[in-house]
Amino acid sequence: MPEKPTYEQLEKQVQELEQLKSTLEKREKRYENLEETLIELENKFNTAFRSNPAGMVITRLKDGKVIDVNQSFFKITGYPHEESLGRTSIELGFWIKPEDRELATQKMKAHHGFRDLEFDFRNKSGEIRTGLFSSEIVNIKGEPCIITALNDITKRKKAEENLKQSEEKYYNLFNSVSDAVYVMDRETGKVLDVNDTACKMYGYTREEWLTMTNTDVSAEPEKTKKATKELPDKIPVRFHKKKDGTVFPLEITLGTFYLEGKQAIIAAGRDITERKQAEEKIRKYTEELQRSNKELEQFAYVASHDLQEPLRMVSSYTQLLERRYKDKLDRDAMDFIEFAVDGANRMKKLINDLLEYSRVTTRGKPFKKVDSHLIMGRAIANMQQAIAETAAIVTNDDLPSIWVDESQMVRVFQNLIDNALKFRGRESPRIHVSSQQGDGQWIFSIRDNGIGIEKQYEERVFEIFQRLHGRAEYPGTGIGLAICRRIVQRHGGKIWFESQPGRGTAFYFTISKTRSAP
Amino acid sequence: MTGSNVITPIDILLVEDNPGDVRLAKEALKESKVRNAIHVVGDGVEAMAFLRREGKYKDRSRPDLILLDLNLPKKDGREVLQEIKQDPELRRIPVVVLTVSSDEEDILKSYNLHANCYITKPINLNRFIKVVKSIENFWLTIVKLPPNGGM
Repeated sequence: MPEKPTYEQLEKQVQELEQLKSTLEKREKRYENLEETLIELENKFNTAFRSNPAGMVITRLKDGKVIDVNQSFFKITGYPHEESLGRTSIELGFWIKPEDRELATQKMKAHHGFRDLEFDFRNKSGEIRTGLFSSEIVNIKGEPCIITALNDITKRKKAEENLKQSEEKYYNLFNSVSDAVYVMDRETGKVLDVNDTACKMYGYTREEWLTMTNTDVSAEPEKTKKATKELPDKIPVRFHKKKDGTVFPLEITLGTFYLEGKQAIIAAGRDITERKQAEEKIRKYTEELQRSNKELEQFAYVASHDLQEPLRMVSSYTQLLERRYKDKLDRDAMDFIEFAVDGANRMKKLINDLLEYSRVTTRGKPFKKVDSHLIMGRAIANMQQAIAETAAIVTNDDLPSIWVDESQMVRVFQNLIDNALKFRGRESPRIHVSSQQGDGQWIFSIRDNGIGIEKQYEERVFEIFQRLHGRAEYPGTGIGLAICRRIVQRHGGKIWFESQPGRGTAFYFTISKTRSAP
Repeated sequence: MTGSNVITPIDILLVEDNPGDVRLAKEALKESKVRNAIHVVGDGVEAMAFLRREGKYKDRSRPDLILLDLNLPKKDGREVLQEIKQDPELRRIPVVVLTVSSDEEDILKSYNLHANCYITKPINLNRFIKVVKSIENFWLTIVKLPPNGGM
């Protein structure tokens, strides 16, 4: 039988109960607070989850099924909430490369998560995109889950790729141009970059280049320094030194740009050795030509004076012989004298023709713009007597103005008209001059109704002292057409003929429409 | 040649280095109507000495006409022409350039140096004789020149 508790005992018990109650009340309060905090946390998590700009997805660890996704996930993948739930990423056809998924799984196992791994994935419409993935294991309601954040970096990747390609393109361009390209510091002339061509051209490696300044490769360092300061657009000729000491000429073009906040020079150097050599060759040829022209001129002078002097003696004294001793000479002697004089006369004619031929180039005048009608008029005036004697009719179409040496061109017309008169047929000569437009040039024609020229002689008629007929038949040394050709050639043109033997000949020659040297 | 005895013979200076040409000129002048005395010098230096009456030419009179070849030894005909035409004592003497050259440049240069006329020696003898006669006729009978060379 338990004893009846005493008052004190009861009192104590009440007190204990009171204490217990207060403790319980406190605990209850604490739980209440805790619950509030939890709700708050959950709200926070939810907000963070729902409104995260990254795609968020929660999958169950044990079967990989999706239990939640946010709006961004839908935007990125095209899968809305309801289509994603309860399915695995494999079922969604999310992965492109199995090895990516494997890597992710491995990381999960080893580290319970990973950060910023780049994987390609397929979105709902089948497009391949690139994402940056971060995952972590969390317990949700006692269930281990994987929460994954996904950022679509396709655009960025594309931009990066484009940039890379563009960089590559320009780098290849930089290296493949045939000029040496150097990038230098504007202040110091220190080489910051060079292309492959520069390495090949000078024999320095890129590493060697990067330890040098522009004056190190210059064979004219003072000029190079000056150019670095003054920065002309172009240096027509600068001599540089190769690693092996060879000095060579370059044409350099310059420009500036900002490189990492500092002014830099970009220059392109073109090796002009060949051009210089060619120029030198042309200079030598020109010199030689001038010398040879001078010699020709001297020869011509010798021909005109020194050769004619003895000729005159032969001719004059045989004639003096005739004059003084006519009575004492028989018919034979008179014939012989005649032959001697005729020979001397012809010799003189040949010398003069040769002189005229050589003077086409040595005595040519500068070109002027002249009306062809004027040229033709002069030629006809010079031929007036022969035209009248042969009762020739000379006609012409409208003719252009041309850039020519006037007196030489008069000579061309005159020689061609003379030819037409000389080689006339039975009928009285008809000569027609016309012109037509060619490609950048005028084509003149001088047409006659004469005896014509056979095709086989097309080259020969233009050669000096070549004749197609006996002297008795047609007089002349055979210089006329040779002079025509030389004059036309001096004007940069061509001369030829078309002919029907027995019916007539048309001579053609071309003259440039624009002014040509000289 | 009536009356020619009373007239002083015309003095002609022929500056010519080729004996063949000298002879031809003399032959041509032989046929002349005008009484003439022809003096011949073979180069430009001699020509100037003759004209300036230097050395052995001290006693020579000034010629009335000069026939000048262009290509001469020692001193070129062009230089002779220039010196004559720059010399106030000599420049009134008519100078006929008589040469084989028909070169335009020679012709132009001669006239620029004040040659009185330029004649190309013809290769034909008859024509040459005619030319020499014409020169004589023109310069010595037709043209009025200042008396005594203008001095």
